[in-house]
Amino acid sequence: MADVTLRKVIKRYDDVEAVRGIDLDIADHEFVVLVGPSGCGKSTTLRMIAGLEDITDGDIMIGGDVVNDVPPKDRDIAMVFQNYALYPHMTVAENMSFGLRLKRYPKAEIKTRIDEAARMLDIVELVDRKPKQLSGGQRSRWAAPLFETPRFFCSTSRCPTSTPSSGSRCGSKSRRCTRRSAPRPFT
Amino acid sequence: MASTVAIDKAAPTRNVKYGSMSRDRTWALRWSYFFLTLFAIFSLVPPIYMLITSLKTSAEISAATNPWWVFHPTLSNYVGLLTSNQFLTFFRNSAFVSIFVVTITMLISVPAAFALARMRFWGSATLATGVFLTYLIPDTLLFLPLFKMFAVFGDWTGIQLINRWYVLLIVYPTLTVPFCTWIMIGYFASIPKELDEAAIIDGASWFQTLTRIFIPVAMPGLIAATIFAFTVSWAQFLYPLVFTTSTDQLVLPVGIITSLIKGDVFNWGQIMTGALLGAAPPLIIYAFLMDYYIAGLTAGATKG
Repeated sequence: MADVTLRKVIKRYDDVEAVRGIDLDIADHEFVVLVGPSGCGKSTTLRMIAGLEDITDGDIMIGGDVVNDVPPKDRDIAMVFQNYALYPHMTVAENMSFGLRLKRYPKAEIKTRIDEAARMLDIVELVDRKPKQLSGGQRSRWAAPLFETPRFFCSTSRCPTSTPSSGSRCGSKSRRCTRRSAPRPFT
Repeated sequence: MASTVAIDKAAPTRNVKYGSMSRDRTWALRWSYFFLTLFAIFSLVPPIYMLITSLKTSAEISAATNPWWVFHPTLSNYVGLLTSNQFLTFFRNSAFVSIFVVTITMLISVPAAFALARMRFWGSATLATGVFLTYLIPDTLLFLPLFKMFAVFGDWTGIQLINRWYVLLIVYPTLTVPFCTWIMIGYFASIPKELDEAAIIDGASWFQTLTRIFIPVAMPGLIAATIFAFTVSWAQFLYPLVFTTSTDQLVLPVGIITSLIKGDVFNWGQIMTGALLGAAPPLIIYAFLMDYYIAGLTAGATKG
């Protein structure tokens, strides 16, 4: 749980300026939505916060610390990709626990967290399936790794707007999650 | 053709010939069955001839009878080969060489392909092309300089590599590594970028991304590369012919022709038996891995 601050963040690819000096303050537990036409730099901004893109200039702060040169895994963030980026060879539960397993959490704790998250996401009956065995809606419901309690949560998925029902579901989920853990900008 | 007509919205009133699709399909199927049958016959005749000949005695082979029929079937060729220590040595050498070469190839080409496909470093694209170009140099061109190299190496260090079966462990990867690396680059490149980004955010190192995500996801490609490496090293003929000469160092393909052809006397019965027995392991491995390969491709493809 932390606030996120962007100061004059610029991203330049060779001769194209993708992000032209964005200033942004996201308070702790705040729910932020980035809206704009395609190609305006929403995803790039999120990717820079997550650490997947280097920034050309400016500063990104998470919880007051400048994280410009901090690798993604040490930024303690969670991210949902537009196409969900689920590991196709793992079951839902294995997908969800991958990060925790890499961090060598005790097995019992991983199980408790997965069970809790599965109940919260309403997907208890799906945890042993593989991504291909799920529908699009089911995928978007659990693609969010809410159980990791990150400091910051990025989502480039369009799930809040895709369908009315999943929208309200996801919205409420996001709000619940917001209360529970971290600020969360959507694009 | 038919599908273009079906989606042509500019001419909704045109009389679309329904059924032309299935007629096309029928003809396509007939033609494919025709050519498939032709090809199946073409490729199955040699092994069938091998099988028929392997069941004959030398007397029957040289007799001017119908070569496509066995009049006095006998297993003497099989018994003769399987009880000869020489043949079993060839077989063992071949097995050792192939298994080691497959292992070495995979250990080199999988990490190499991962690096070339995913870690963008200076010159990686050129290097990837270079890897493939090395594959295009034929072994008929390379065996002389390689021989000289091993000879000089032997003179300098006193380590004799020529006429040792394990020299093939150094030589074969020059054929298998480039091609397998190339196949794996293609497979790894087809894995969506988001998958490794997700892994990075989950805290995986490069090595963990490779072993926990890329290798399992690219398993069909990995198996294709393994089959290729195994087939190449099992069937390779020129290099072992050049680099090994003593009978206890020979691999199967060379062993069969050097020990079963004496001067101008061809022991056809045993040659065919040896070839058939030699062809069996790749077939068995292929049949076994094929199941796995298809399972890997279709796993989770259906709902429920």
